Amino acid sequence: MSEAMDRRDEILRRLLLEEADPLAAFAHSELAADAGARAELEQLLEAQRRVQALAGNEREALRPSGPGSAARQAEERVLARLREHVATQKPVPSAPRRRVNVALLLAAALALFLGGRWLAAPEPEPDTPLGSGGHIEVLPVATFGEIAWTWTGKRPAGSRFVVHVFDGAASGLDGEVASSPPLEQNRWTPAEDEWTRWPDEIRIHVELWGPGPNELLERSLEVRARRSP
Amino acid sequence: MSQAAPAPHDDLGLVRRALDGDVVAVESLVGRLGCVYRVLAQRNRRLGEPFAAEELEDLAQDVTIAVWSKLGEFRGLSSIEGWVFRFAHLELIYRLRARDRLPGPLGEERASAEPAHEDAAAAAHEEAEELYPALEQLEPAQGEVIRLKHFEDLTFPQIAERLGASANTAKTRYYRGMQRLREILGRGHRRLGGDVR
Repeated sequence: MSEAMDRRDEILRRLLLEEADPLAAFAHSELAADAGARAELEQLLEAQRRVQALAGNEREALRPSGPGSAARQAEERVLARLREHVATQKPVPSAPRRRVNVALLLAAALALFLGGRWLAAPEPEPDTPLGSGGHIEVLPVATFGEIAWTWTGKRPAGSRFVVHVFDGAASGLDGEVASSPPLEQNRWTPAEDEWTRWPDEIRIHVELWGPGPNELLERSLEVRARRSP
Repeated sequence: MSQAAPAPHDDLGLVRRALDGDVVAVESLVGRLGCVYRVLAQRNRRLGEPFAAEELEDLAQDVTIAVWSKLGEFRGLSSIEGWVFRFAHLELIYRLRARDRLPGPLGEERASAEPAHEDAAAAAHEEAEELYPALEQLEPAQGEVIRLKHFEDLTFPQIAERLGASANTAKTRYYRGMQRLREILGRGHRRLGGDVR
C-alpha cells in the first residue's frame, strides 16, 4: 500500500498526531466545513483512545512489583512452582537438525582420521523413513504456507513434530529457509510475514522427535510445494 | 514506498533456545514469566478483587504453567510480556465466569453478591476481545508502529530509530493503521447492530 498522502489525509494526520486538542484545531483548519472529515477525525480519536486505554492497562499490569512486597513474594512462589514443573519436563529440540549435522560432521571427521570407511556410515537420507513403526505423510498443500500431515502409529509420550522447509532450488539438507517450533498437532501454519518470504518452490520435511535429547523417531518423505501464481 | 514487514521480536530467539533446553534461556524465561502473576493481580484489582489472594495465587500457578506449555505457539509478534498479558487477562475472565456459573449454594451466593464483577468482567472481556484481534488484522508494519507507540510507549523519533525509517514514515504508518483500525472496529459495530462510530 502506498504511503503517499493526499492533502486531506495530511491534515487529518497532523490533527491526530500533533495537536493537543484535535477537534478545536479542526475548527480552524481548511477542512472545517467538511462534516465527513470531522466525523472521520472523531472516529480516529476514539480508536486511538481505546488502544491507549488497552495499552495503558497492559503497561500498568506489567510494572514490576516492589522488592519484598507481598506481591513479589507471591510472584516468587509461583515461579518456584514453575521451576519445579520445568525441571520435570525434558527439553524438546526446536532446531534439532543443526545438532544432527554437527554430529555427522564429527563422525565423518573421525572416520577420515581413522581411515576406516566402515565408520563413515551416513545418516539416513532425509527421505528415508527410520523404521519407527509409524509413518508420517505430508498432505498436499492446499494453501501455500499451511503444512499438514498424518501420522500412523503410536505417538510416544512427549514426542513432538518439527517441520523443516527448504528452498526447492537446493537439494538434500541445503537451503533451509524455516523450521517450526516443536508441535503437538499435525499442522503448522507459520505467520504470514514468514511464509511470504519463502521461495516460490519449497521442499518440506516433517520429523517426529522423542522426548530424549536428539531422539529422532521418524521423518517423512520429502514433499515439494509451489506457490500459486 | 513498500511496507516493510517487521522483524520478529527478539524474544522469539529466547523462547526457541529455552524450548531447545538451553538452561540460561530457560532461567531467563522463567524469571520473565513473573509477569503472569502481576497481570492477574492487576486485572483482579480492576475487577474489584473477585479472587481472594490465595485463589489468585493458585490461578497464577495454573496460568503460568499453561503459558509455559504454549510457548511453542509464540510467534514473536510482541514481547513475551505483551503475549502473556492477553493470555492471562482472558484466562482470568474465563475463570471468573466459570466460577460464577458453578451450581449450588456457593455459585448462587456469588452470583447475587457480585453482580458488579460480572458487568466489569464482561466489559473488559469484550473490549479486549474486540481490540486485540482488530490490531492483529492490521498490516504488520502499521500494527508494529501502533504497538511501539502505545504498548511500548515510544515517541515517533524513537520508533523511527527502531525501524530505521524517518519519523514521517512512522507517523504515516501510524495514521494508516489507525484508519484501518477505525474501519475494522466500525465493521464490528455494524455487525452487532450498533452505530458506526
